[in-house]
Amino acid sequence: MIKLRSMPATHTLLTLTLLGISVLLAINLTLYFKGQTVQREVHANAEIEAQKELFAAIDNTLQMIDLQLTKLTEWDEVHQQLQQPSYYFYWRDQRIKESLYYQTYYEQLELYSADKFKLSHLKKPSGTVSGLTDTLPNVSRFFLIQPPNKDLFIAIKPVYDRAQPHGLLGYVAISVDFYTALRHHNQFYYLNIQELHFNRSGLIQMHQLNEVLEFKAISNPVSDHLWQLIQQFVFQLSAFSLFAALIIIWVLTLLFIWPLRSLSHYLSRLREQPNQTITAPKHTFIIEEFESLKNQLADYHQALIQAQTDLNEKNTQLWQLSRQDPLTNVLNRRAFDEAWKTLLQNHVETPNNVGYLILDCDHFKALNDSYGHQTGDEIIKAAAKTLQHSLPKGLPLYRIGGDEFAILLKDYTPNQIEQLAQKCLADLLAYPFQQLDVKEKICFSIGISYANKKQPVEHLAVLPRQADISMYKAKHSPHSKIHFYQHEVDTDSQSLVSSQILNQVLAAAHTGHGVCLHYQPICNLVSNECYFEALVRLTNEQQLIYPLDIFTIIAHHRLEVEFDQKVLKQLLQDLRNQVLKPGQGVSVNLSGKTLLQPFLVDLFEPFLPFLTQHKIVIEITETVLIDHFNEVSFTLNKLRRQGFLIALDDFGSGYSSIRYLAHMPVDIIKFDLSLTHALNSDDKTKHIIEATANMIRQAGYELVMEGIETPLLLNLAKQAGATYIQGYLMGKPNIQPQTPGLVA
Amino acid sequence: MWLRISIMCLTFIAVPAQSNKNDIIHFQASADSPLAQARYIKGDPNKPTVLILHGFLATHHFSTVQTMQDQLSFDGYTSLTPTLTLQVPLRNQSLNCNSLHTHTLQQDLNEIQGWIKWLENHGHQHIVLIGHSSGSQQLLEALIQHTPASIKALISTSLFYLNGEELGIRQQDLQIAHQQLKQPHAEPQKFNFLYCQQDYLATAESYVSYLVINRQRVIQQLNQLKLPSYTIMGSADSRYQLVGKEWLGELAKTTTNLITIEGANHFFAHQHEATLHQQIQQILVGLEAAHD
Repeated sequence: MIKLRSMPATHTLLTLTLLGISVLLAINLTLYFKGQTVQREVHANAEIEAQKELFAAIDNTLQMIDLQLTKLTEWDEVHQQLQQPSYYFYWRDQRIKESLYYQTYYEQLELYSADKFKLSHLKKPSGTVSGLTDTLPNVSRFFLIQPPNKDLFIAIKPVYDRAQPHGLLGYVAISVDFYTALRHHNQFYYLNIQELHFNRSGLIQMHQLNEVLEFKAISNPVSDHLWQLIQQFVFQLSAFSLFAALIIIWVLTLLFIWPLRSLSHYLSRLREQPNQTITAPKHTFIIEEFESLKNQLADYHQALIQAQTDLNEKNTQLWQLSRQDPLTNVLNRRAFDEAWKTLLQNHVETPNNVGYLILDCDHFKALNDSYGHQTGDEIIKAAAKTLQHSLPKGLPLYRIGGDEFAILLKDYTPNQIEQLAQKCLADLLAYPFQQLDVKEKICFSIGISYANKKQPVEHLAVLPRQADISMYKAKHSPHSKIHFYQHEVDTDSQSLVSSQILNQVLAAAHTGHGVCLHYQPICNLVSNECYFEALVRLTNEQQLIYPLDIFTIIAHHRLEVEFDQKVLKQLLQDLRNQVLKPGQGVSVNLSGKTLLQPFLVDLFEPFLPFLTQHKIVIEITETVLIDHFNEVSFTLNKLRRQGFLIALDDFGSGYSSIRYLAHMPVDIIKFDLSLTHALNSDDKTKHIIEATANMIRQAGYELVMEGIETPLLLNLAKQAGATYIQGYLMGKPNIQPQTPGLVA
Repeated sequence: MWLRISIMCLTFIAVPAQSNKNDIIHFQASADSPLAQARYIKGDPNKPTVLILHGFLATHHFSTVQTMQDQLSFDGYTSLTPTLTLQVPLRNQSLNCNSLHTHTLQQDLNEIQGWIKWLENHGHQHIVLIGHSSGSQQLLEALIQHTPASIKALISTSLFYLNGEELGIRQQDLQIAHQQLKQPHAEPQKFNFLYCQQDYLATAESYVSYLVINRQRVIQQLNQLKLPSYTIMGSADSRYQLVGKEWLGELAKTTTNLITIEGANHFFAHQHEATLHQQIQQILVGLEAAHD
């Protein structure tokens, strides 16, 4: 397939015009040469026709002359003169030329005696101008060429005696003006009789006629005129074609090429300078469509510039909006991610000390639920505003979650960071949140991680997780609400930085490899019956990996659902393998994400056969339950109807709302160990916990108290009304379920 | 005298051509004339033979002559229509005015006599001469000179004369002609003669010879004729414009039997051919009856 190449309009026009002119000129030349050929053929044919006409005319003329001679030989007066030539002279000079026998083209008529002497020669000798000599030659027909004026044809015929047919009386001879005779008897259409001539003089015999006659054809006036017309036509057409081509080029250039080039130039400028206002060509095009196109382009360009300007403004606004938290007007998560990414990228070339500080409001969800979202928002806005005031000018504050703020600190020392964190926390704690009608004391936790500029960028990459861990520590610390990760060397950090553990956790989440369950007994204080909480461990050849490391990584990689599936699979296998003996119940923990999966019920379908011999408890956390109460309630109730029991784990570790207790789709409430340990604190606290336990019991829930590590705590749990207890006192988690001794 | 002798001689030396029923006869009718020709048609030998002579410069082919011959031949008459040679051997074409005329009246008369002799030599002893126009005058002249016994009658048709100012003959021509007659080898001249106005090319001798036949001479010769004479004239002949209609009266006063055919022209053309023939036939029948 032929690939067409674009050409400029001018070149195209010139090419087409040249092509058109070439074709026209070729046609003209063809016509010219054809006309020339026809002209030559006409001339050649005319020559042939002229020759035919000439010799036909000669034949005709000679026949006519012969006929005339014959009549002369039969004329009475010729016979009379030959027999009685007395008055021959008078007869020849006066009579003969008046007779009908004498033709106008005769030069002379003479009678000769039988012995070939002219009758008159004795009387009046004549010259040879007329061609008739005194004595006859021996030939009867010949030409006598006498330049310049006389080209004669001589014809002689014998006259016989009428009385004696063979008796020769004499001869009649005539000399004829050859050309006049030809013209007299013939009409010439092809032969130019004026040009007819003999090429030599003297006596010419008849058989020499072809050789000595020279002639020319009449130039055909029609043909010549036609040829002249053709020549004129060809030249005029050529000139007209060239002129017309120039006019067409000029017109097309004016009408099309010039506007096209102008518009093309205009478009090129628009393309080269897209963001600048380019003035449209000022000249007016003749063709309305071009003019319209120019104006439309200008309008379009103007609109485009305006749109570009608007878009830039919108982009700026959008950029700002997309990076600004609308509630607090501080930078949002997107801005934080970009800043963090930029910081990491720049760290290779321009390393800095980097502090990563995150801060959030303790129990914000519960506050939000208790006081409403509007109050929650006000708390967040107040916190943001306070923090902005606390931070040095120019140091950006990011809101990276609902109640979570972050600050990136470059070239700060750990002390400076810690001081800044303390200032922020102090300012927050000092803020009068009571103005918002919040009765509780609002606390904040701050997690900090840090990397100096000498550390590779990989160390910076783990700062967010380290800060999370620090935040987790801070939240769970009753003493310090600021936790600096850099100051610790514990398993948490080790788990995160240990790529070996990381790889193993991730592998377990994806394949289930290494997942094993350790069972810690939960014993009934009345019946001493126990069931076992399945606590996940990862095993390798060297060590066990514990839940804190596991769930830190699983949460970081958002693999909660996958990991729960592997745990359930392992539990199912243990049930099948009768690691749990018939009659031994078991409880298993589910993450909040798994709880929200639509296939949750399906996950437990394989366990249905074991419900007849095993009590199976599904432990959930209250956060998910409260956040998604309706959806989760529906699923949990379905599981309950199937025979599963539901336990609300870690009650009291968060901000459990009492108002949910009456309607929770659970069978068992598990007190967090912090509540259990609080039984050993002041009376007021003890009484509150006991009242809470009582309330739970009154609501019909079984109550499990965790963290029973001492007989004192066991007694306090019994007094508080726990129905089940769990803790080292009854037994540590073990790969084989071990029923403790009597605890009641 | 010499003429008669020569005729007599020729009678014996002439070799007539074959005399079949419709033959062209070549015959030198006169010693001073070339060989002549005539159309000869044999008829009933018991009927008179008719010799018909043509008019001025004409031949026996002339239509009036030929018609008369054919009709008479149809009636059974033997006829001969000679052509006067006018000095042209075996002349068979009419001479034009501007032909060179060297012939003389006497040569014509000699030839007439020769042809009469030829008829007599061929056994025709009852001959009636019929002339047309100047042929009538020449026959009349010939009979005046000599009337053979075999000639029984003369029938002249369109009889006029040759000389007269009313005919266009100019005195100056006559003077020139007569002057030339005195000179040897005088050049032929163009004269006024009959219908040849100023282009009758003739020698003076020739021209003058015919001028003897004038009006008076014709009337006179008619009266002198010893034979029955019949003259048939057309009443519408254009020659009357020249000679006057009284010419008919003058003819009527002669001894000739004048017959005028009303409406006929000089040549008795068209329907008058039949009338002419009827008149001639009646004359011949009358002559036959008289002869019997």
